Amino acid sequence: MTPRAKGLVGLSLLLFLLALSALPRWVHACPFGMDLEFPTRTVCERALGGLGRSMALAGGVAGLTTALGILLALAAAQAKGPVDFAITRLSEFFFALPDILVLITMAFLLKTARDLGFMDPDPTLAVGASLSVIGWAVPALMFRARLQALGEAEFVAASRALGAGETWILVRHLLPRMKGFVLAVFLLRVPAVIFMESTISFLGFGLPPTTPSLGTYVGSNYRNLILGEWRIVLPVWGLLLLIAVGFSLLGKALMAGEEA
Amino acid sequence: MRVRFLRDLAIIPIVAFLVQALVVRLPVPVSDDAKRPQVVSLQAQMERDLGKGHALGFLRPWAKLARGEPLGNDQQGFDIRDLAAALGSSLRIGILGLALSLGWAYLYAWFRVRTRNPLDRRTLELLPDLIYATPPFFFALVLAIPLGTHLAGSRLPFEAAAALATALPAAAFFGQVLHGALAHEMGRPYVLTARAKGLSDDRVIWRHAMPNATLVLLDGAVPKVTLLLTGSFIAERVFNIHGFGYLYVYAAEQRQAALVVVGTTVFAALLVLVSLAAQAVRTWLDPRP
Amino acid sequence: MIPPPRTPWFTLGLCGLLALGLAAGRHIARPRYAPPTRVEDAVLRIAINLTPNTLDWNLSSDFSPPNYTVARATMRGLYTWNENQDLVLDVAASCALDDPKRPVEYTFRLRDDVFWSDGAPLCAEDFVLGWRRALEGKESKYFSDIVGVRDYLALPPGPPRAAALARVGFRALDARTFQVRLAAPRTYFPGYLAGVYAFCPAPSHRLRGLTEDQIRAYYRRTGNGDPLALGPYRIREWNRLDESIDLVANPHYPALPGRVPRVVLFPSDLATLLYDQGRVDFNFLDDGPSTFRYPAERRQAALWSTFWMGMSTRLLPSDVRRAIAMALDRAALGDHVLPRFRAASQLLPEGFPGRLKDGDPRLKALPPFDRNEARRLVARAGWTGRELTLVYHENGTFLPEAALAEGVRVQLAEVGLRVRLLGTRSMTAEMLTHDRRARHELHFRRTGADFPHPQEFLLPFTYGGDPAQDNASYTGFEAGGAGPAYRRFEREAQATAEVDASSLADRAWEAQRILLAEEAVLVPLFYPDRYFRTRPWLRELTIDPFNFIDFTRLTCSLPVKP
Repeated sequence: MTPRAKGLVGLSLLLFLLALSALPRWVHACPFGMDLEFPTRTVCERALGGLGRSMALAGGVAGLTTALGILLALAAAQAKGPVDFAITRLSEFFFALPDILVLITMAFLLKTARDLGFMDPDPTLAVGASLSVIGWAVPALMFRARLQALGEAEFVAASRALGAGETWILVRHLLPRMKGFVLAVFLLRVPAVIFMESTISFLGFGLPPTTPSLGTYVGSNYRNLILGEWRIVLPVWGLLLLIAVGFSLLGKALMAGEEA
Repeated sequence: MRVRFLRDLAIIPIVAFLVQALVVRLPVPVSDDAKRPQVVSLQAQMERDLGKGHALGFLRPWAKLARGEPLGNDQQGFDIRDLAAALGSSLRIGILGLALSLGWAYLYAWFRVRTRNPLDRRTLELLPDLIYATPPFFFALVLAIPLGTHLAGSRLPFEAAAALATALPAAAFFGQVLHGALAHEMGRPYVLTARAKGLSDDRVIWRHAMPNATLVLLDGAVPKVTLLLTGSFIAERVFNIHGFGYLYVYAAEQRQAALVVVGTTVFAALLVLVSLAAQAVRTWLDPRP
Repeated sequence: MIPPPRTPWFTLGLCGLLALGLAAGRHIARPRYAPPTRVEDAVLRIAINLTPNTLDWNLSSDFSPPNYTVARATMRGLYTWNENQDLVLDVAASCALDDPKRPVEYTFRLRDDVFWSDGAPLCAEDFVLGWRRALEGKESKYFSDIVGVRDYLALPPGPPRAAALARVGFRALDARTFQVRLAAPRTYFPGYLAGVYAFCPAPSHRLRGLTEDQIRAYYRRTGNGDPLALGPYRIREWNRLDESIDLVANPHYPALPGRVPRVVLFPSDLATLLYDQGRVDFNFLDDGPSTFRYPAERRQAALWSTFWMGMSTRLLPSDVRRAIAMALDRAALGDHVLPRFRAASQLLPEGFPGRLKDGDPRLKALPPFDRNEARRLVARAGWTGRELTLVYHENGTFLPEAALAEGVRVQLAEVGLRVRLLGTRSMTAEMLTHDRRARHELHFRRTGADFPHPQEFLLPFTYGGDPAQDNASYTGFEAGGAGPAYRRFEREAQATAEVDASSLADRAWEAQRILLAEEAVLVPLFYPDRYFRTRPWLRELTIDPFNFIDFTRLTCSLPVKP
């Protein structure tokens, strides 16, 4: 497939998903039957309800971490020297942390704080914040590498030879060339966040089941899955597949367009 | 080299200290709540197990373990033998998972570079996406349907199943990284020269290109060996193997602060060891100083 | 260049591997259960959600229900209950009361044919030791009716406290005579002795003279016969990491022909799958879906338990509380949710002491099911269209609480109240938060009896406002803004403990009437049953009304006849 075709397929998949999540939740005719935990609701209703929340949460977290990543990368490129070193090492450190471990530790801290009556954040916000804390390192590293690669390009050398300042180069030459790349990174982060959220929800540290996401839905139904109730899980898996493929195709297309 | 080694090792006590400091500094409840038994027992536990308020408090859980005393707020808790057994399970899962995923990654990269068949190419390209699009716990669940879960007796069969489930996502990631590097290497002049000299494709790949691609894999993938740790958490949960991941989740759920501190530190130590091992492999593979 | 290979080896290989895996999986997954052939080889394997977190019953807390299951299999108390759930003496041969109607002093004469699993006879000193240890444990509140215990517990550690221990009202008169003196008559006290395992004895011949650490080690290390048992089973091994417990028949317990010689408990939340695979012999069919899955094998046991919905007196005016009580069609709540649904009218469950008979004219005082009236009350209070939050347990209980909460949501919508559902993993944490920041109006709760006495169902509601007794259970949620009637209820509830058995039912009813009708602080919804399946060769494997697996009469009929 050409990048263009990939992008088109990815984009249409995502639009389709958006339409699905916006679909009125009172679709009662569902080929997968009724939910087991909430017998008055259909599987489709639960899955699509989860889709919306998952996408919103993942979009928010991906947006935040991407923004944080580009800011840090810019700061590193601008300041150079020890600041650059510190930011890079910190990003590498966070990149190497086992995500689940950090998320569980944060859930533990939140739970303790909550039990001691210190604070009681909204569960969606708390999960979003935890995911953001571990999520910024990857984009930051990617952007920094990209900025460095661009910085070695000939047009930068030419601009520098013409007497341009570093800030000027950064703002005038490098940033405009990063736009597509930033978007691509953002798009690739979204499914990653969705899967991370689904995993911690499965382990019981994520969202409560009354604020359903795709992950909590599968997580709270895993006993039924093991007993062969595939109808509960297949729609969710299908949605996850579409999300991953859609975002990945679009992201890759953008990435390829950037590199061309 | 030596400096780097020491610097990396120094991370372990720093993590031990920081986590302890963080856990101990959790907000202290206000006076009218102090009567609540939960809070009281939580505070007593922190003082007993974590040496709250002592400068060297972060060493206390380790001293208790060394004396063979149990940690935790149950009457019984977990002592060093329990922790060692749990860590053993997790390490076996992790190492087997690492071996499986690396084996797969090399096979994958080799196939993908070698094959000219359009169907194979499509499959090879799609496979990682398919694996990424599946929540990691699905693999464990699918394996658990026929195998069941661990109850008592030998853990090994279930550890193997857990390793397999854990290896899949890591394999997809390693495979992609290695293939990218290998494809890049295959276009470089030394490969063309070797081919021109009449070496077979496989010989060129395995003798010349693959070691160089491995260096890239080390750079790109070693930090993500943690994928295996993460995966083993999930697989342990599904297969009912009470390994280190399970203990950690249990500790967090039960607010067993001392176990959280010990667990986090052990994980940090593992990460440091993995990165040191990767450096050793790199020195061995890369003749350049 | 080498010509490109034509065959899609990779795809073919992958498909082959998948097919092979599928075939192997199908082969492995085939159920292959074979019952044991001889009684001597029989092992009852049980997978339950949780297993005990300690074997030191005197110090354990009642937050871990599996502790009870193992404690009841391995321990005996002064009292127990028979098949009809009547209290009877267990290890005591006789009990002399100072006043048969309002007793405060119980003098137990121990039987001389009761032995620990190492063969040593049970003596009165064992109870003194066990109870003294329990005073330092998490269940010390159960001892506070005994003379001197409140004073003792109020003292900080030190010499005065040690002196106070000598004034506490239980002692061994001689090797076989044990005496307890209460501060005031308490009709529920024998129930405590049967149902609360903190009251079990500890083997003084083994523990006397040991340090606290050595005693801890005694309860930790298994495999050498420790810790000693009195009941039908003793602990052979406790694997703390796997959390499995291996029980074998206690040779010093009266013989029972056909007794299953070994019972193993494992933790697993996939017991249903493991039962289908033939790897365990007992399976609780919990949560909604699995109760319907095996209609032929399913068995059920009625519990002495009530599932109810609490209403915040702080956030809901009394008219709205009454309206909610009237709006709920309890029988309809169970449709498609549970196979057998015993809708509740009273707080005390069916067959429980102190409960009024169905059809008793006094029951007319309870709010009837009347949606029109409920709608009118809601409208009059100006609450139509308001949103209420209902908190339920999202897992960790054996009831499909989410489905029940959904049912309540739908039914309350009928009278103009909107309900938002909020699942929590820890009701205790939710309640603690609530005390500080009132934020939910309704919550689900199940009360289960540990022994047959109305106090079990009433006492939790009297704790509100007394931080000394506050065990973080109902903590003033219901009592928050309660009126004088609630205060009267507290006195009534307390009084049920002090009267003799004949007027117990009247006092219990008065307390219920205030709680359910006058103050309307809760709506009883239904009396839960426990569903399970076991292998047909197991006999008398039941769930007692207190929701524990009962091993005491467990036998097997082997070999299985074809």
